[in-house]
Amino acid sequence: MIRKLKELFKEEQSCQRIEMPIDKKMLVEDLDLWYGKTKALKNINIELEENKVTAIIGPSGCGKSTLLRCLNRMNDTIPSVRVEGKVWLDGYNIYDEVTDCVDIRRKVGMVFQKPNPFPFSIENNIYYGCQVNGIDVDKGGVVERSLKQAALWDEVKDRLDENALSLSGGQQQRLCIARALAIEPDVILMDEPCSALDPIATAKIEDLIDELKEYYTVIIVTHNMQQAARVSDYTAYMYLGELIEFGETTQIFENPQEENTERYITGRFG
Amino acid sequence: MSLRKLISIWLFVVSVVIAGMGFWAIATQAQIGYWTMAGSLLIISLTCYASGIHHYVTKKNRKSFLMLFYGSVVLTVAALSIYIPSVVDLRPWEIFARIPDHFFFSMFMVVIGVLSSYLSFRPFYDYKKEGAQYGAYYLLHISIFFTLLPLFIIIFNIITRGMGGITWEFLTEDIVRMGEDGGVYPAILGTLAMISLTAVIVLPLGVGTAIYLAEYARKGLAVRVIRTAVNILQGTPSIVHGLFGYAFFVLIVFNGQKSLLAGALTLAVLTLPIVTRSAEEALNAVPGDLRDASLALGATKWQTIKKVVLPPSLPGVLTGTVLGLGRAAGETAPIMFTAVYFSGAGTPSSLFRPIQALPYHLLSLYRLVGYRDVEGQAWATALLLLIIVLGINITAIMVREKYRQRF
Amino acid sequence: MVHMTFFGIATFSVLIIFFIFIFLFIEAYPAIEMFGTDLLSSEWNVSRNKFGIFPAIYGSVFVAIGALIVAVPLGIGAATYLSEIAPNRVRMVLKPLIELLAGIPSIVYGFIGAILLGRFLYDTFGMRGVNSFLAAMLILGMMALPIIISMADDAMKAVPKDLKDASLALGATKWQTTRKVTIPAAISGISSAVIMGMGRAIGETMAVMLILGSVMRTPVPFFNVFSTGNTLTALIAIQMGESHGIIINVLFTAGIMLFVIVAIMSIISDILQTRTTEKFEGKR
Repeated sequence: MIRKLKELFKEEQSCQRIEMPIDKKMLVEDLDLWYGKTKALKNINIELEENKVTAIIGPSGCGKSTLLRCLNRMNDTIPSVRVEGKVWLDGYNIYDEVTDCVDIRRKVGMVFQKPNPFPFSIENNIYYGCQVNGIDVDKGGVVERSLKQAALWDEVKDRLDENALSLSGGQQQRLCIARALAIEPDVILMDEPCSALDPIATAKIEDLIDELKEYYTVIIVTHNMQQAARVSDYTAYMYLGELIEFGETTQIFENPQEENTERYITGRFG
Repeated sequence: MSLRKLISIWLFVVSVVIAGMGFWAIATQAQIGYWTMAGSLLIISLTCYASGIHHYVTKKNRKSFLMLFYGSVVLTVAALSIYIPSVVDLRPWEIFARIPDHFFFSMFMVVIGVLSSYLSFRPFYDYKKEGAQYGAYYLLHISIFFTLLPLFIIIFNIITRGMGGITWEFLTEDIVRMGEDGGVYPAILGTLAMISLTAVIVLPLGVGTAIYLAEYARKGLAVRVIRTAVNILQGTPSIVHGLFGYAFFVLIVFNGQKSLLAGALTLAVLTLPIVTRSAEEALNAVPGDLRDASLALGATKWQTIKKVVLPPSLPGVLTGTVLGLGRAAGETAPIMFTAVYFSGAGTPSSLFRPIQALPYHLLSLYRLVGYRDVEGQAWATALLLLIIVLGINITAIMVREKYRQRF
Repeated sequence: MVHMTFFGIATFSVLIIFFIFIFLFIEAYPAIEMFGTDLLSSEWNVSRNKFGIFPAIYGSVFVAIGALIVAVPLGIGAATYLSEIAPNRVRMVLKPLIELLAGIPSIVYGFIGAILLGRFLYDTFGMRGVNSFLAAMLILGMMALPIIISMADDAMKAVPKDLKDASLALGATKWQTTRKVTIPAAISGISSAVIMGMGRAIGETMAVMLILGSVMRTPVPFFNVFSTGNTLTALIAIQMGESHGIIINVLFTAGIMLFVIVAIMSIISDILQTRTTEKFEGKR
């Protein structure tokens, strides 16, 4: 309570800054995370390349989704979570006391495991982000641009005012991607975006991810190793809350340095 | 701390104080004068101007014009209300009421106070969307406060005014001189007898219906109809239950004679949907794999329900029933034509004779207020009724909270 | 066999609904036959054998609308607070408290309302007596609050968390999420709560009888909240004990109206609620 009040009356101060290494978009530095008393992430250090796709893989429960949600402070919505450490985005620490987590989420978009369109019309789904962030743009233009980027425009251009829930699962997921693109974030986080989809829809999304990296930095969590191998440029392997290995995807899959990684990649696990 | 935040905090504090003063003045009918009101509003509006001007000068943020506009509105209200006559008499329009000016003044203080404190969040958060968020949260806190305030007013008043009336005689004697003396002993017994009887009738019916809905029913017309019937029954006004009880139980079943049994049957109809719904909820809370496990071991469906499903859901089923009975204990309308007399019924002795009951006793006493000296007794009866009903409810809720996290 | 037994028990509720309707109708029939549509006129005069219940119908609707004006903003505000921003500990305390509010017997509300609130308004506004629509609306609003709060709270809690997450991930604040996602998504559940609250207000008997005074008149002008009046429920409750003969049958007609109105409201509210659950559970 008193801490909250102090926070309220604190002077505005400027955020810590560092010089980012070249070509790097985000740096994670000594990140620890607790769920109540259980430590779910242990001392994570990772450098995320700009305009590249980075995949995070690992067995279930290893903390890969948790790590992803740290990158846009979505874990703040869970009351029992405590985070220590730093995450730098373009030289600013997103866990700085003066940083506003709402601003962070505007710059770091997210796509969830299950397609979760709002129960509104398709165009209002896309426009929502601009609306809440007070971005003054032409609605039709944003809708068209985002849907085209998400390769959904041709399928829905005649029924933009229909309820988004009437779309198929794969279309819904691409709509969610389009929705995230509408506010022009720098980074897009994807939390197992294909796990609820059939192979054809999955293929479409994977093609899409490949196109997106031209403009955005994409970080994708997946339990599907083939997918990671197909779409990503860099791969991080996590195990029990620790980052075991991180490197170029070809290197991780063809020549892993750690034995643990190799066992997981080759399917000789457990 | 910046001047901007200081001004906002000052605006918030002043507005809350002014709103509180207005509220207090309405509640105590204190006569707020014009200058008190105008002075308060002047302070608010000057603060708003200060905030708007300071914000525009330092940050060139046009959104701060909101405060200038609002300050002007407040100032206008303060200035114009000098034209409010000392009493607004509505009688020329056949409305029998006179609204005094101090009521308007206090009202303005409350409304403008709340509005200003709400708006003070905007400059504090630099007109960002957090300002709107915390302003809205502030209003939500106010609404929960005003939701719970009546509860405390009611309980406080009943306790302080009814305490004195609860004496040994009050609890152990029958009515004397139309309730001016004596007590409510037969009414207590009558209420207790009636809800016990209701429990005996409603429990098998309610739990049976719930078992059917939760365990046997598949989706289909029959289930839809039953569920709709339960919902309609739950929404049916208690006076309609009373009419039904009178038309069916009293006139047809018991030959025009009010009786304990007729009242209990009517109350059973009233509580049936409550019991059914909460029992169904309790049964549904038992995980499906438990049932499957039992069925896979070769038990029949009925054996599974009896041995596996019912025991863990029993606390839930019983609390639902008890909550229903709490409702039944306080109801007046269903029993007034079916079971109760004000006096003369005595302690309940037979299922087929009328009884006295606390809620009806309170009603009868209220009707005598002004003619006879019964107000003290009435408050005491209200307190006793509240103790019984809330006691039942609190017990049930506590038991439920204790057993809630089982699965 | 066991199945059929339970089915038999379960049909009881349906049976009771039919019984209520049939027996009310049997008792109401003589009055309907005798007076026909005169029952809907606004003249109630026992000595001239005129039994128009329009003032009571108007009173029921008027008082329910007034109660909703009090209860809907407060109730939805409180429900939003409970479901969206209250910390778990606070919620664990407030939810039972609101249930207790629903548990207070209506006769106690009526007694308090007539004695405290009635006298208070009488003093403040210099009315002719302690009974008024205004007092009844305030008390009925208070009585409708718990049901509105708990149903609206349930509706908002039923909105899936991933919808809220999606909104937050787009940079919306929690309040924007509540206002633009949670409340629109829960709107049919919330309307169903409001309808049930209105049903409660229309069906409330004892409180309204004590507070409104049960005088058979239509307020003039029609929005006169300082007037006394009557409702269907209060009419029945007051007259049943004091009347005999055809009046009883007239009262049963009023009872049928009440039953049908509230039953229709329950059904509408029911449909709205199934719509909500289907929206979030059936679809995905």
